[in-house]
Amino acid sequence: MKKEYIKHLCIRKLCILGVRKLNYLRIMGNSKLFKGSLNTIILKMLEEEGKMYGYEITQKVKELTKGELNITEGALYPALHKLEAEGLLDVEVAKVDNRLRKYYKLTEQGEKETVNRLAELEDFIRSMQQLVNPDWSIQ
Amino acid sequence: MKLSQDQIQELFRFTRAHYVEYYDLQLELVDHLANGIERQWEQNPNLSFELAKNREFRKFGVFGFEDVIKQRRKAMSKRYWAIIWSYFKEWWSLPKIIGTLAIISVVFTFLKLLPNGDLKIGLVEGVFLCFTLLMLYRTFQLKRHMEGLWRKWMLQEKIYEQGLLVQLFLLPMHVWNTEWVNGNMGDVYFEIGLSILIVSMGILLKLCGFVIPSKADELLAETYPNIKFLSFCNNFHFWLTYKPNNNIQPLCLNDLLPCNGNPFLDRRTLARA
Repeated sequence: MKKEYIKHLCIRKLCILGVRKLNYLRIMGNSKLFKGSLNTIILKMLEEEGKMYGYEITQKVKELTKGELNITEGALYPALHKLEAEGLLDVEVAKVDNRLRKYYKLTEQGEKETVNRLAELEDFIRSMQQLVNPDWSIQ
Repeated sequence: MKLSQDQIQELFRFTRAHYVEYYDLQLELVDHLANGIERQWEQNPNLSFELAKNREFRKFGVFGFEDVIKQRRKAMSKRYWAIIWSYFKEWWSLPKIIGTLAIISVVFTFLKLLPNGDLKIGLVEGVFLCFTLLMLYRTFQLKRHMEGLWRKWMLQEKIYEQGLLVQLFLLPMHVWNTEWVNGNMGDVYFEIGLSILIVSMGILLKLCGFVIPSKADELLAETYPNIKFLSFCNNFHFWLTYKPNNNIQPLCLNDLLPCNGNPFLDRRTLARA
């Protein structure tokens, strides 16, 4: 009886872990490749739009990638809060309709960091392109 | 179609039921859910509020708001330590450095004058014990204050529980009565180190227990630009208008906040009102 109970507990724990893993993989919708770029995507969005709120960011990303990329809520807010704690984002609260809305915008430090991170990402893309699709021609 | 005030309150209640205790997080999540529900209603106006709400909540994954709360807590801890650090840096202005050095030397002389033995060990341990008790007392005092508040803010909680520094304060007591300490008691360097430790613990206690909590409102105002208004609403205006028995809802000035029909009142607050 006790053994069975322990087995049951173990299976339950494993299931929970599995589900959590799946949940994280779902973070960037379709590909694990996007996972590391979530913060850069958020920073870039804010650089272009000025100030945005959480829901708007998810919708905008969906719209720009025509539904290819889906930032889940469980990943977006932790990322936003982390960036806020790092001092890259600033918060503004405004009343919209009948509720309060929290807007995020880049701080000065955030603006600098965005440029850095985008340059990093571009470098990465360039290197990947060279690796995947090397140019063998002699000029 | 837009959500009504009652439905917004229902969303606040919903986040509260899912263990989101803090108003800063509630605000954000309620707005998110509300946006999602309104978007669903645009596509299907006949959808019931409950169904739309549950569908929207499901998007947060099986663990609901848990991950969001966890990350937020981490972020706020980071912020709290940054606050301590900034106050600590401010501390080191010239007159304060001189004062601190003077206190350190006084403690050192006192330690030097005391004869080595049980009395000395007991006295130093007593000092540590006093610090810890004072810290604990302050933590409980601030916690009580927090319990009475209508809306809780995560940063405020961090400030009031003082980053759980009590644990750090208990540390010297664990290593105190060891052979190493007893053997080194008469050593000059050990005594210098000990006096620096005692004074820096005192500074930390003053900063975390008294200076930072007294500036909690200012610090929150920096984090949330509307807080001044909020804390006014939190305490003063709320006491004036809330009457639990005859169903009169508290109204906020300029109707800036959706605070009618407050679902988060604990018994303590109700008893006071």
